[in-house]
Amino acid sequence: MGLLAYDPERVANLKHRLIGAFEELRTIRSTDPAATLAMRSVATIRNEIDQVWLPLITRILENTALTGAWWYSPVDSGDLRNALVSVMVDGYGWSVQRDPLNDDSSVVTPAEARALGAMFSRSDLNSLVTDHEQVRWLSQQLTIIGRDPTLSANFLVNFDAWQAFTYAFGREYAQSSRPDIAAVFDGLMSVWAQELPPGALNSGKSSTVDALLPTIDDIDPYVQALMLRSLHLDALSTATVTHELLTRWLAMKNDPSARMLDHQVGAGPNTADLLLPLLLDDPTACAWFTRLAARDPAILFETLNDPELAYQVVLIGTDPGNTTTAAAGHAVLAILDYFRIDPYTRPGLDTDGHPGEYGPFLGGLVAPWLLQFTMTNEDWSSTAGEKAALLRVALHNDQAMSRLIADAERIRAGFSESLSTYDIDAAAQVGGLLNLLLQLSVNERVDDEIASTDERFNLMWTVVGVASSFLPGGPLVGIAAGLAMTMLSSKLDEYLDQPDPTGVRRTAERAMDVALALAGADAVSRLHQQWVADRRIAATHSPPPIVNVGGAVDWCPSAEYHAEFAEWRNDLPGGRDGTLGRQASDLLDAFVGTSGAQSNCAEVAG
Amino acid sequence: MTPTGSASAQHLRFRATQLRALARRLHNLQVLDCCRAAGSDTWIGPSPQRCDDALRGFPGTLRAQADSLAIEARRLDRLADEIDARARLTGPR
Repeated sequence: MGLLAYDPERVANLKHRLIGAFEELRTIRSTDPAATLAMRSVATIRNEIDQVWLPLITRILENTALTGAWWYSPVDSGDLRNALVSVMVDGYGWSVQRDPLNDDSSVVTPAEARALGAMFSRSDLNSLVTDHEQVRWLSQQLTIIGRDPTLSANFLVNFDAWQAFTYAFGREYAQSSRPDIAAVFDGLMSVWAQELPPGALNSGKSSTVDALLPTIDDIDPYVQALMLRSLHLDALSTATVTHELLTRWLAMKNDPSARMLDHQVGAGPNTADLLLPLLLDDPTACAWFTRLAARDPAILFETLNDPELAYQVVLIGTDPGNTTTAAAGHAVLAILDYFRIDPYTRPGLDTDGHPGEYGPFLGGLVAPWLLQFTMTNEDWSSTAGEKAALLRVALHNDQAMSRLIADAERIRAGFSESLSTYDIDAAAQVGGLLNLLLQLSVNERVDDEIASTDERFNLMWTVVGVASSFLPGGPLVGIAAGLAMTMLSSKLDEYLDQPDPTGVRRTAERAMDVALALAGADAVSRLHQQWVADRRIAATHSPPPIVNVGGAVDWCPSAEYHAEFAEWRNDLPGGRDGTLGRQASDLLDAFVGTSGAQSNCAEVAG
Repeated sequence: MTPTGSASAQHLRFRATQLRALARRLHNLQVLDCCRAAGSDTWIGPSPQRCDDALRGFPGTLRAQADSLAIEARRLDRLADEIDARARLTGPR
């Protein structure tokens, strides 16, 4: 049962007017057949006044004197559903009674919208948020109001409780993550959105928080996040304002005097957690956000309770299919630089926003861009030394290495963007990459005084396996090379007891030399098989040499291989300087040229 | 006894006059203004809303009926004119 409120004098006047109208209608008569319909209408109206509306009004006026009866209950002024009634009773001295009809909550009048907007200035909001029934009703009403520009304008003209309302509901959501609270924000922001200029919700890179939200003093970033989320912006706009918001959030995090609802977040999402998931379905938005965040990677790694969100956004945003090489370079290098120092050792890092287990993320981050780290690649504006140092940040981490080794597909995606298939230049780039990876491996093992073969060899074979599709000779068939590597690994294990750094370095350099020689020999072997298939050389022609991995600890495989290769090259059709000879030589040089072999052997010899 | 042509025409014109008078009354009834005494300045709630809606609907209904009566009155006048015209053509008997 609903409530009705009324001005008794005016209702009495209405009754008087209706009685007069009724009496007048009784005098309307006509027997003309042409007036039949008119007379029927007159009779209908007369009867409705007499049998429906006059009795209602009479009952209301008679009950006015009975409001002191035991069954009478005063209006609950805190109940939002009686907002308009409360306004009229408390504000204008009207009377109130039970109404035999229930209020149709699916219909909101402009007067009701105005009254609802005014209610929050004097409501106990802290109690309101705990009343689930009223909260659900409120979200329904706001949704209805938000669909209509006129109702929205009526609501907003009286709604001046933005700060108190959004904070009370925001705090409740922080502590409980209740869906009905989220629905209230959705409804409230649908009302507010009616006030925004056309196109405001789709301003993309030009979006600003101030242009989208009402002005609220000392607003909490968590509340802003809830409001922005409820505006249902397009992903690019969300990315832009999220970056702006989290920049402010970081500044507040380091300010001990700042109050932040994020400190009250239970198991649910914090400010950043609320917004970043909205980007994941839009690679363009992820790329844009990553580009913005590259200016200060702390926005990615010191704001989220769920660091996986940042990983996903960045990996999507730096994927070769979603961004330019240059933009990816800025982001990848900036992020690696951020992790150059273990973030968990930084002062001030607490559990409210943290980088999580970032190792696998770093592996996935560099996987598509390995070629860009090599010395001869100039896609990124950074020195070769700096790039190598930053790549080492990723490769230093065991989890990153494991991720790289397993993520052949991301490596392949990067190669596809950078290499033309079956191009000798591709071999040069791949060879350069292998040299870089192995040199980093040597340095790493020397630094750690670890002499055993490790995951870096596995990474090398992942790279070789992926790269083989782009190299002259076609896809990998170097099973023999893989077996040789296995034999080498067991051989090298014999040299594990090497406590002195010099001995470790020599072992590491030898392993590197073997690996490069094997990779180069494998590539030459595949090239030879392609020649045979193309009938450029007889099938009976001697195949290229293989790498001998069974020598002494100070023996240098690449030098021996180069010598045998030179002999084999002389016997090719056209000789060493013929077309085939030059092609094979160029391919081998991409992995370990003559001078490189000599340098390696010098290192091995100590 | 069947009315003569002029008597029929006179009767039709009398009916037309009565219908127009009825239409004028429908245009000036007190009930047409009752909605001004109601509305959100007087009362609010589900039942008051129903009453307000009904009171606002009465004028439209009554004015439509009044317009129909006026149209019918003009039709009757035209019939009367036609009867008189035929009588003049055939002449007195």
